[in-house]
Amino acid sequence: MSGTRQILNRLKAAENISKVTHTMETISAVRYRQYFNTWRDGRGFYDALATMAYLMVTAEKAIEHPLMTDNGSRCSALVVIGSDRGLCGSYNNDIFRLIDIHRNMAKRFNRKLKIYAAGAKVIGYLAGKGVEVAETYTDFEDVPSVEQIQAMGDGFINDYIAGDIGRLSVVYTRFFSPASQRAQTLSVLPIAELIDDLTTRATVIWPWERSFEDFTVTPSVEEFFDGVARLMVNASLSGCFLESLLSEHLERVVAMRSATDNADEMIESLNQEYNRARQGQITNELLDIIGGTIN
Amino acid sequence: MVKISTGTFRFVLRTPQGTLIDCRTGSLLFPAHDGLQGVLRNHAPMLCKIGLGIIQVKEIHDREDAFFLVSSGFARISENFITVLSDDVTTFEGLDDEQAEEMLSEAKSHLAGGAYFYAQTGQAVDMQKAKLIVKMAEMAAIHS
Repeated sequence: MSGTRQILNRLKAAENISKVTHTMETISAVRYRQYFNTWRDGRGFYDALATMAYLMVTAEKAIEHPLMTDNGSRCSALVVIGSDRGLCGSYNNDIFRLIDIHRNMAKRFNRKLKIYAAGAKVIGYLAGKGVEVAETYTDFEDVPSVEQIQAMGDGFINDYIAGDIGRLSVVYTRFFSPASQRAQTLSVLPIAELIDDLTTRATVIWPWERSFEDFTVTPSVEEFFDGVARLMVNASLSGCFLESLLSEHLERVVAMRSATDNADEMIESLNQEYNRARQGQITNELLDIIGGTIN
Repeated sequence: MVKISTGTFRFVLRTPQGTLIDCRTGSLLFPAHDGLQGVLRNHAPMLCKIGLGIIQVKEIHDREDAFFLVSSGFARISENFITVLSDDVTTFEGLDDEQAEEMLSEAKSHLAGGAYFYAQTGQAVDMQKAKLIVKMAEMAAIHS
């Protein structure tokens, strides 16, 4: 059995750990709530965007736009969103696993892969593997501003139209609900796959009350679609960053709650051990005194 | 004889961060890509690209008129329901007096040093936005 001093030291360490993990849990819980409200309030925007996209792709005369067609390029762009900090369970490991899958697939199908990384953990992982990164996003704290997202989205769209990239995908942790989050890949370009994703996850009731031909479209249909497509790409990128952050904070809340519970259990068992050791020590001292008196 | 349509319709302004307004209104003016577009009840179905300008929501049920500065986005008009989608909206709605005055004074200082600012950064759109913020403040009767 350890001495009481050692037990006391371990007890203090466990109490400190419990305080730190509980504080981290509280901070992440507050931030989670804040981002959850933004996510929930923004759902209507994505539903309305899905309605507009649905109207356009169900037009009798198919809309021809460079973002709708496969441009034949053998280069894929992959945006990877991870976290800046650790202590969030398997959050980053799931993202790393998807990166490896994409790298293996690109190698297998002889495609070039350009990786755009966000989050210190992802950047560190790729550097550790010796993977060349096309660009790192480090100039924002949590989620990019509207201007940063527009610059990012316009860059990818222009690359796609120029034929420099043939696909754009985002690896991120999708937030389905507070009970379900999963690391996955969202195909953004060609835009048809994004429209498919938007319309299938929308909560609006299909079919809508009117068809595309009922509307007067201004300016031209092509110009209007170009604008909607750009808004869809930008909004989806922005949504990916938000959902990643939301999932990260939720994972951290769960991980830190579990750590706090474990520390509390350890404190309880160390308290028992300390009391037992202290009682044993008193008993021994008493026996020594009694033994001395008899002699 | 042409009869002016009366009555109300639903107007919703959505951004990825949330819904800024969802109300029943009697009249709406929004900046289309080619000029100001007015909407009354029973407007024909329309899909329209939005340009830089101020959305003016008038005759709102139970509250004062509302104003929103948008620089891009789309409007869908159908069945007396107008949805505007934009990822870049500036408004005094929901701000307290101090925040509104801060935004207004920042816009005014941009305008005051306009030529120098433009020469340094070349950001003409921001200058236009600053002008429109001042105009929006006049519409909403906010003074700094």
